[in-house]
Parts: sequence; C-alpha cells; structure tokens
Amino acid sequence: MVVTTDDEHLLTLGNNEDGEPFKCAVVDDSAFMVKNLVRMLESFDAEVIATAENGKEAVALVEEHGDELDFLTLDITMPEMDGLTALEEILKIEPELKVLMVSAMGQEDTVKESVMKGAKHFVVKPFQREDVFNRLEKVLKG
Amino acid sequence: MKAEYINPFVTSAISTLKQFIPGMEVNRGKLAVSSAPSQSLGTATYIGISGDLEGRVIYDMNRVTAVKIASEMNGEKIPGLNELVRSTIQELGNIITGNASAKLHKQLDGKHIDITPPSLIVGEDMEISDSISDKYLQVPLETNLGNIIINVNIKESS
Repeated sequence: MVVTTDDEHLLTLGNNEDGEPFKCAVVDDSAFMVKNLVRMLESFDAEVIATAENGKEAVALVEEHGDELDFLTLDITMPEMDGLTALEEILKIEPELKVLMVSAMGQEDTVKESVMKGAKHFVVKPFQREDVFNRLEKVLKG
Repeated sequence: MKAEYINPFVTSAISTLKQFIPGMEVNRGKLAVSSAPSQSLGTATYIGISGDLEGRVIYDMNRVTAVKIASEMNGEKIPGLNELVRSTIQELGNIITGNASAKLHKQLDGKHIDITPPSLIVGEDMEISDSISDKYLQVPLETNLGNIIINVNIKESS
C-alpha cells in the first residue's frame, strides 16, 4: 500500500469548481495511516489542509475549515469520538461536505449505517491506491 | 470458546500482511490453547471486541519483528521502536481485527461486532492475562520477519 515514486502523479483528481486543487482533510487516529493517506492524496494533486486524530478533533477541524474543504476522509474506530458519531456532527455543520469513510470495519451493516448518515463512499482498509482514487473520482465528480 | 472464532483473524492477518508487504512469507502454525497468564514476546497489541461477541485479541511479537514489519510497511528503514513503529503496529492490528470482524459478521449471520482502538504494550517479561477467561486460543504465524502470535479470547455476549 506504500505509495512508490514510480506510480506517483499518474493519477490526478484535477481541479475543483474554482479551478484550484481539491482541498481536503484526513481524520485517523493512526499516525501511520495519516502519513500514508496524506502522501497518497497529495500524489493525486489534492491539497491536504488539515488532519485530526479523533472524532472530536474532526468536528473542531470542520468548524474551523469546513467552508474551505472539498472532501474529508474519516476513520471509524477512534478514541474520544468514533467516526460514525463524528460524521453526524460534521454534517450538521457542513451538510454539503463530501465525506469518504476509510475504515477497516467493513461489515455490511457498518457500511450501510455510514451511508444512511450521509457518507458519500466507503473504502475498506487495507486499500489499493487505485481504489481510493476511483472512489474519490465518484465522490467529487459523480 | 469456539475454535471457529480464531480463523477469521488468522486469514485476515495473512492477507493484510501480504498486501502491505508483497513477497512476505507467512506460514500458519498449529492451533494451541494457552492458559493465562502466558509470557508475552514483548510487543503486544490489545484490541477489545464488543457487541454480539465480547472478548479481546492480542497480536504479540518481539521488538525486532515489530521494527522490521513497520520498516517494510513504511517503505523506509526505521532504526528502533519509535512512535512510527508503535503507530504502524497498532494500525496493523486494527486492520486485521476490522477485517476479521467483517468475516465473523458474515459467518455468524449478521452478528454485529465493534472493536476498540488498539493499545500497544511494550516491555520485557510481560504476562498476558485476562479477566474474561483463563484460556486463549493461539495461532503462531511464522514469517520471514519473525513470529507473530495471534491470541483470541472471544465468547458470545451474555
């Protein structure tokens, strides 16, 4: 899953409606996962403007940066506040924000609950780079 | 505890390791029953299970193996057991357990399983013990980066 220099920049998300790179945030309690996702998203030419390591921080992040964000990736199993609870709180603040769940909890009922609560898509860890890219394309351009 | 509960963890561990580290050699050892307390190898990731099942899973390895696996997963040589190694090994346990819970969900006709964020406990001469039961099912994974012992103690919630 580690992004290698060979395949970097072969996939690009392009620009948002303002003609700028898509701006996003990454929420995950694992520094390892944040590092990998940030590197991967930047290789898609997205701009990661903030990260958070639990649901409470994610809500605070959206309160501060929500109007700048095109999308946000959100883990589920996190301390302080889990991702599904955070998802509800985030969408109360920014109802139009596109949220991509990125979690190892790929149980069918968890995926359904995420979508019912307003997530746009779900990526199960461990993921392939192309999976994340394809889902993001659907989320952003679908 | 039912032996069928440990298989999803073993298969998820093998597939997750191979996805993160292409070419990794992983062989499944023999199932054993361990009486707690048992001696830890020194780097143990604890993850709690709740919902329709309850208990915990422990992924146990020695410090050298943890550093080797984390180095491979990060694509860089990490000199010792630092924060990045801790985070990587915890996330490995989280992903294995999350994937295993999805398999159990299917296997057990939709039973819902939640998992806690992982805790990593590092130290020499540690013992693994539990208040739920004094028995763990254990499966060792023998890999080219060192051994990983999967300890599972799960039962149906009362």
